[in-house]
Amino acid sequence: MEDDLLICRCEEVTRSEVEEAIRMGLRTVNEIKRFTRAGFGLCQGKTCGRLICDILIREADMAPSEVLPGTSRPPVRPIPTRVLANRVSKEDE
Amino acid sequence: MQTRHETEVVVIGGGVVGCSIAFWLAKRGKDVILVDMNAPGTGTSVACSGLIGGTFKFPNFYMELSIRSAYMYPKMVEELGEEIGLRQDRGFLSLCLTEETYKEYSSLREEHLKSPVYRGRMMAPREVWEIQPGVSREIVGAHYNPDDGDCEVLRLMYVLIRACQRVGVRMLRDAAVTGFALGGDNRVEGVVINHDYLIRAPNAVNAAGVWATEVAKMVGVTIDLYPDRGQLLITEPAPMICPTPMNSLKQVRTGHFHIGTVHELVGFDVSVTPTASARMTKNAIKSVPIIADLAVIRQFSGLRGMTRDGIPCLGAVSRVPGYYIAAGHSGITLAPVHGKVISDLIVDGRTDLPIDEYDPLRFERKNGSQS
Repeated sequence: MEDDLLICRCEEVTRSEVEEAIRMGLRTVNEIKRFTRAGFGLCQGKTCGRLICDILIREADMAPSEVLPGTSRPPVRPIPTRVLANRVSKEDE
Repeated sequence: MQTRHETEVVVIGGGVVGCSIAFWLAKRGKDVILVDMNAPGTGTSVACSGLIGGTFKFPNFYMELSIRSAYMYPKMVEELGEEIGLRQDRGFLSLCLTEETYKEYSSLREEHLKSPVYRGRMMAPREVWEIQPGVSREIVGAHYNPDDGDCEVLRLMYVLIRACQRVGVRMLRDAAVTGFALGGDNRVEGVVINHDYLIRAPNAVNAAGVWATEVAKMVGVTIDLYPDRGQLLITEPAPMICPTPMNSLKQVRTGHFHIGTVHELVGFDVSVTPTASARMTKNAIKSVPIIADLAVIRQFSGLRGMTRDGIPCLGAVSRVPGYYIAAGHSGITLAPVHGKVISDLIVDGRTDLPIDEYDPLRFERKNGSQS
């Protein structure tokens, strides 16, 4: 597979950058995300997350069951800040 | 118990503090193993805002040490060999949205003025808008500290990890410290990992951040660091309108805004809450109105390790020879100091930095318990 293949389109992270992270000893999707920024974009890793799991299984010689998906963070889709700010919670009343 | 490794120093905790200490020790010729219960770069260091500075840190000696540490960063970056997104030329703004805040910051400033190191000042709105075009027209003013700044924490973290690997630090992941082997005079002889094996070493550095309390308890030391949860929101990128970091809000090089800050006493729970996101976005919009139009793309949390007197633990534990502690808020600011002090203590047996006030045993003395 080509080294400059894009794994994360949002943050333009290539396969070779993910492999570099694995060579450094990183073994989870979360660590690779923090090191390469793959998964930090608007889609929050919806595409690259699984690709990175695949690369980990192959390059780090891990069993598929050992590779955990990255942490999903709210909001699931980008939400305008003003919408979040207008939320009134019980604690604030 | 089986001995699996031997080394000169075991550093416990792979955050920015632990890695800085491991780096400087290895750089000064020590053989070092760094252990982390998860993996290096997975705790508080990668879930914080990356501010570097001393504004409103009291007592004044703590502010002074923080600023000293900030000015150690450029040299550390040179040694590390890679950029960490350090911004030290722009200073740091603490916005005042109300008259009360302005009065509060002015009086905190009065206290700081007793220190010869402090160079901060109050700023009129017009001057704030000049250096920070995105700021609201409604502000009353701001406190400005030219000596504070920030960095990109993820870069800092991985630059440190890479530098540690380059100078020969061995890093073990999934290696939780579960005990210590102590000699007859209470001297450190080794560190027990995962109830399973021993790393034989005459020195152990507890740099476990908010988890340091537990690791101190294993040698009978009480430091009472407790978790203070913060939450952060990241927005989509926008054109650069806030190049100066602010309290609770900063725009990073890539244009994203990082929005904080809350302080929550909820133990080690790292979940995120809609209450916090509502509160934080409200404040952020008041400070920089255009943020209302930006989308939030992620929310996460991190645990500050706070002490009851607000200053960190740093130094040797006198009654357990070979045991050192470097832990507590704020690790990003103090990472260069921690690295220097602990490597000084282990390599030279002394340090020229003023650390008496940070003695890890001070909590036991205050409690009147025996030490």
